Amino acid sequence: MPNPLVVDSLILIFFDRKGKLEDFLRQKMKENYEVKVPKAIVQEVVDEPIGFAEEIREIAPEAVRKILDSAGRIDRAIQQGLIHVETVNY
Amino acid sequence: MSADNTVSILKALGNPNKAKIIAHLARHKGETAEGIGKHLGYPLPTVYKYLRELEAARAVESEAKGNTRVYFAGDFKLEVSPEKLVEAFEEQTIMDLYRGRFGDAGMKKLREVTAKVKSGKMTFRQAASTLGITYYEFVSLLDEAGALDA
Repeated sequence: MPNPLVVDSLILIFFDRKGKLEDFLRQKMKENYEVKVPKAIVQEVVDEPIGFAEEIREIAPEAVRKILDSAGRIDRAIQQGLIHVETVNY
Repeated sequence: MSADNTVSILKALGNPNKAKIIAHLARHKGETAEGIGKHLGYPLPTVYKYLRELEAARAVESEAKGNTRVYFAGDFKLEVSPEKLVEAFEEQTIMDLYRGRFGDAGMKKLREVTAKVKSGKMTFRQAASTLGITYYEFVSLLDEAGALDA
């Protein structure tokens, strides 16, 4: 039974921007951790960035590309089961 | 000046009637809509429509004075050349967008809030809330400033 590891938005954003998110998540999996985030964190690192990207699409296409790539990578990690989204009982 | 603002002011100046309102307000500071209409010979509903558009473009400012509203020419300077247009429309960073939205006062507040975050007196979420931006925007600003590497 893996140990739960609850991470904050900054951890996900930080490792993603370093290009090491998947490595970090797989390493934690090897160490028998299950990385968990509450739904609110998904909102902060996927939903809100996508909304923000929509707002600035016309004036900052390069920033938009980076934001959508990052949100996409985090979303894929969720779909692949590397991050579990659930109610966290602190 | 942001690309959005440049385009808005160019549009305003492209309409001679709106441009005349700005010129009138530059000479008659604190004029009312009625005064503008009377002086320039425009119907009042048209004056209000133009003033709303000019305020949105930040080409005109207003303030309440008693029961009425008075208008002033905005403090803008527009230099148009091909190079300036390239500059206006070139890629904006998230920091540029923040500066465009909140101005120098916002930049000062950002520096203060960032210092508090760095010293552990404020969380990232508190900082974002104080600045009126999302958590993600705040983290992106810190990242662009290289503050996440520290």
